[in-house]
Parts: sequence; C-alpha cells; structure tokens
Amino acid sequence: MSVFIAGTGYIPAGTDPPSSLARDLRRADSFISLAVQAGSAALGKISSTLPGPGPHGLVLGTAFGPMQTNFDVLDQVVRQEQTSPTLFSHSVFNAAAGYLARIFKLQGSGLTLTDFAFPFFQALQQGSIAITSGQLESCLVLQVETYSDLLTDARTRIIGKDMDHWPAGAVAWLLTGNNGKHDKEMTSIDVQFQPSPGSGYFRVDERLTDTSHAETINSPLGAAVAVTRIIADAPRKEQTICITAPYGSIELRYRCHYPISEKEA
Amino acid sequence: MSHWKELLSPLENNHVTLQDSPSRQERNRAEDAVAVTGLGCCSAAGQDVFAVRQSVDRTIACCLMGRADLFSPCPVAPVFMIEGQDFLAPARKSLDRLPVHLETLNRTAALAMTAIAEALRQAGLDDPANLRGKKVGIALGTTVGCTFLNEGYYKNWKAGHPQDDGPIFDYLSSNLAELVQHILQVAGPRIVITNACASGTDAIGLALEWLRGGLCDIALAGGADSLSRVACHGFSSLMLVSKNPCRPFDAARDGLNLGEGAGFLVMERDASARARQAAISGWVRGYGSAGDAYHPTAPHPEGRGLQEAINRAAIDAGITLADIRFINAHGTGTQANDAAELTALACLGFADRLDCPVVSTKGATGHTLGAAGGIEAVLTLCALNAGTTSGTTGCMNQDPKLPLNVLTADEKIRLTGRIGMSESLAFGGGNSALILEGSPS
Repeated sequence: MSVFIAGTGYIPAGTDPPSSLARDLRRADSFISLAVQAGSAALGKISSTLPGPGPHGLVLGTAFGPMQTNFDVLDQVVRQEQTSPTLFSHSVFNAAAGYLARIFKLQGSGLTLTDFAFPFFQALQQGSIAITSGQLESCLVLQVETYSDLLTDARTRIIGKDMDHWPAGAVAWLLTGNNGKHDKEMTSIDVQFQPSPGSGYFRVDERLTDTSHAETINSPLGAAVAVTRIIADAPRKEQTICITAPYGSIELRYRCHYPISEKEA
Repeated sequence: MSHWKELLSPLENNHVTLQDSPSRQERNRAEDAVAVTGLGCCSAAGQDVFAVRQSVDRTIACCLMGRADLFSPCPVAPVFMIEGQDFLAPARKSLDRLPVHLETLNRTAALAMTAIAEALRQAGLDDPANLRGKKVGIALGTTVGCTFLNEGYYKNWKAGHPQDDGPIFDYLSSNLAELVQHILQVAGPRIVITNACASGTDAIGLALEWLRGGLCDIALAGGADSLSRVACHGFSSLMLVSKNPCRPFDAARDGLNLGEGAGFLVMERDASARARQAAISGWVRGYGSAGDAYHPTAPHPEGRGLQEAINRAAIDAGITLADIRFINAHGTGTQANDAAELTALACLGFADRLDCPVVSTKGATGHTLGAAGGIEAVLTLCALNAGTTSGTTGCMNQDPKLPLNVLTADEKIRLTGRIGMSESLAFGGGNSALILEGSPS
C-alpha cells in the first residue's frame, strides 16, 4: 500500500480561528486552537466527509507540548489555589488530539508523541506505518509548538542576543492510502537519531536540502513548515528532502502525480 | 505484490519503505509472531515483577495515607508511592557496566530504568554487549515524564531571582526514550507516547508494528510515571480522586488513587528469540486503538471507542473474542470509567462469558497513568502464565448496576486459556487494547 499526501496546512500563532470552529474552540488554549486550525486546513473541503469508510486517525508530534498551559497549572499549584479543571485537562499533552478527534470525527487511533528531535517526522513515520499496516485509511499528521514565557526567558538569558526567534504555530498533513487527483505520494521516510547533549536543543541548527535548494532551519517547527512549503510547490518528479542536525537526520522521498494538462501534452 | 520482507532492508535503520508494504490483512501471522522475552515492573505494590504479582495475588492495597504535601490545599487522598531509594538497587547492579548514575536521573527515568533493567536481565540481555549491532527500538509511554514541572525553578523564575539553569538543561536532556537509548548505548527507532492513561499500552502496540515491519530487532516497550503534585491537584479538581483506597467496580466506588511505577516488556520476533534460545514469557498477538471522539475527559457512556479498539485488536491478533479467557480491565474506580468499560465489554458479549474473568489491578498498584499500560501488560502475562487470577483489590461488593460481573477481591479462579487482553482508556477519548498470549512453559 502506498501513502499519499492529500492535504497540508500551516497555521502561524496569532491566527484567529474561522467562525466554523469558534464554538468548538471557545475554551481552548493556544496549543489546541493551533492544532485544530491546522488540521482543518489540511482536511480542507473534505473535513466533513473524509475519504473512504475509515478508520481515520491522527498522530500529533510536539517538542514542548502545551508548555505554557502546564506552567499555568503549576502556578495555581504553587500558589495553593484551586486548580482549574479545564486548565488541567488542557495541560495534558494529548488534549489537542482529543479535540481534533471530536471535531473531525476521527475514530481511529489517535497518538501524541513528544521528542525534541524531529517530532513532525516521527509523527509522519508513525502515520505512514498506520496506513501501510492497514490500521488507518487516513491519518492527520501534525506538529504543534507554542513554547512558554519561562522557556523564552531562559533562552534569552542563556543564548543572549544571538538567539533565534522560535515562531509558534502548527503544521498538518493529511495522509491517505488512496490516490486522489493531484495527490503527492510519499515513497519512504527515514528517521535517524544521533546521541546529543540536551543543550543542543536550545539552539536549533538543522540543514535542509533538496534537489533545488538548501536552507538552515533555526526553530523546532521550522523543518515541518519548510517541508510543507516544498511539498506544496513540488514539481512533477521524484524528489528527496534531507535534513541533518547534530541530533540526527531525516530523508523523505516523494513524487507527484499531477495529471498532465492538455497544454503540456 | 512483493513479499514484505524483500522490501525492507534490515540494515537500513528506521527506514520505512511505503510502497507495497503489507497491510495487517496480508501478513503472514506465523512469521509476524512477536515474543516477549523479558518482563520488568515496579510500583508501590512491589519493586519487581514477583513482588508486584504477589501483592496483586493477595489483593493488598499498597497505598500510603496522609501525603498532604501532594494535595494541599485539596483534601488529602491515598497515593501509591514507592518509598525510599531501595528500588534502584537491582537496576544499579544490572547496569553497573554502563556509564549511568541512577541517582542522578529524574524519578520517572529512574523508575523506567528499574523496570527495564529487570526485563533485560530476564531476557538475558543485561550485558550491553548483547545489544551491540542490533536495532533496539525504545517505545515508552509517560505523562509526567515529558513535562518540566520543577517547582523550585519555576518559583525562582516567577520571583525574578537569579538561578542555576541546570534544571532546564536537565529537562532538555530527559526525553525518556532518548535517555534510555543513551543509557543503554543502543540505536534504533524511539518514541515517547503521551496518550495520557493509555500511553503504555499504545507504546507496546507501536513496538509490535515496528517489529513486524522490520524497523527494529528488539523492542523495549512499556511505560513509566512518577507521582506529581500537578497530577494530584488536577485529578482532584476533576473530582476523580477517592479519599479512601480505591474500589474499582464496587458499589461504593468514589474515584481513583494516583500511583507511580513502571512496566516494560522486552519484545522480539519469535524466530529471533528462538534462534538465540531465549526463554519466552509469552507473545504480543495484537493491538487495537480507537477514539471515542466524544468528550475531552469523560469516556463515551457505552465505551464506543473501546469496543472498536477491542475488535481491531482481535482482528489484528487473528482471533475471535471467544478466544479471550482473561481481561485485565482499566478499572480505575471512577463512576464513569468503570461503567463505560463494563458496558463496552457487555456489548461485545463478555457479560455471558463465565470463562473470561475480568479484573482490575489498580486497587493494588494505584493508577500509574502513563505506566499503567506497561504494568498491566506485565501482570496480564503473569496471570496467563500462572493460569490463575485473583480478584479486584478493593471490590468487595460489586455495583449491581454494572452490566457485567467482575472477579471480586475474595475470589480467585483458574483460567481456561492462555489468551488474554489488557485494555486502557484515556483522557481525550483514547482507547487501546492488547491481545497477549501466555507461554505454555
């Protein structure tokens, strides 16, 4: 079975949810809101009617999780205040997956994973395995990052003026086992890890290359955003994207199946 | 279609070739069999598999009362906490050839390494040389273990005091799977699943897929979690914590007790395990997972997702539900969980199944969150291998409104088969089930 990329979405922090999601997200924190908006963007017009009978599921990867919400709960704990049940339930790492499943009726498996190294690509790998093994018919794959004031302060203090800005946001891809029109096909994904000191994650330094260009990635979400952009603009041929970092490497191969237009023919 | 083994190069680490991969339906089940060659476990109920199993067998609630510091200002509740540092001793001995000081690890990691060391020892793999050159997958579940909840650091930061940034570097060095890879000096796929209370079960399910797909030769899979004040406060705020030792499925049940611990399996393809003449403790036969898509914290009242997860696990294992002869239920002791879980089992026909006892072990271990699925997979295999099970610690008078009779604390019976199921339900509507088979030896 092959894996096709049926949709992609990227939502930067600060994006207001569309009115169609406003009610569902009225109590949500930023992490959940970004995840749902990115998921909605990847699902696009098919969100109400996912292709095939299912099951449809999701894999969400994150480096830092809902870190600010975690600290908001911790703040109530250290101040000996009554903990807000809503805040606590949103501080759990898989709260966003629960929202996504409920809003988009994803009744297959829903996984949340966390790793400072390549969380999006780990999620992509697990989502691909879920499809090729027949566990899922389609899988929403996401990376969501929101960071926290404490983390930003610590980075500012430790790194100083050379600190790269880490934009918060969310990226989502919809993977399916069915080849629809204009789908891109993911043919393989390789995730390698290298031993790395934890301090290496304070300053992201990833090198992304494909056949036409190279760029440096300086934020935890950056590689997912860049690869999403490359895939969206992908030409009609087999491509390989490589990402290298002190903590490992990624090799992602894909090809496009655009129908040849009359003009091109 | 090509045979799947031809499509995966065994030397390419963590490489997934997607075209023409086999689906679950197309697999050769005999070649796919995944054996368990090591079990490791620690919790308040005991510091190794034997001790935990003994406490569960004797239906002893190993909880501590009166830890006000964990709950204040919420009402104090029992917790299932491991006392002292003794639990590290066996792991320290096992891992003495590795450059690790267990005392320097955070508590969740220390618990994980304790259970992993025991599992590796049983599998005959505690000498690091035995893991060299092998692709070793690390799949583990946790909840507390992936958060940075250092209260001292947070208070200092909040107050604007200058401080040592060591804790934040420690946090960045403490992704559990990465840490375990580093300690054991192994390479291969890794994942930390944070699916709340189903994390450990899902981690074992993922490891099963990794082994079937050739992503790794050996997998260490399970879960670990330590107690945290945030979890104690959070569950209290949701009014899910009992002020008494918990009573899963009991008419008087009024909530769960939080606990800590770890449970791990060493998993490898059956043929590999046999080739190295490892003693086999059982098999992971199948895994299924499904979402309720219903509510942020409450399960679907009829356990919709759990029913689906169980059906998928049975299909994955190539068995029928009639083959299941023992169920280790999630059984937390909350009103909603226990009702939804037993309703799901009743809907699947287990209410009439006198040959399939249902028990919860959380009355003996507490609810260990991300560790629960790992610990309970270990205990399920122990019960299947012993051929007997004791009842549910804390359940003296089963709630007559529940649609299925569980084994109560005063009961103990002989099992009629070697296939069992361990199931987990989680915040966010996640449901997971593992089909496990005990070893005839």
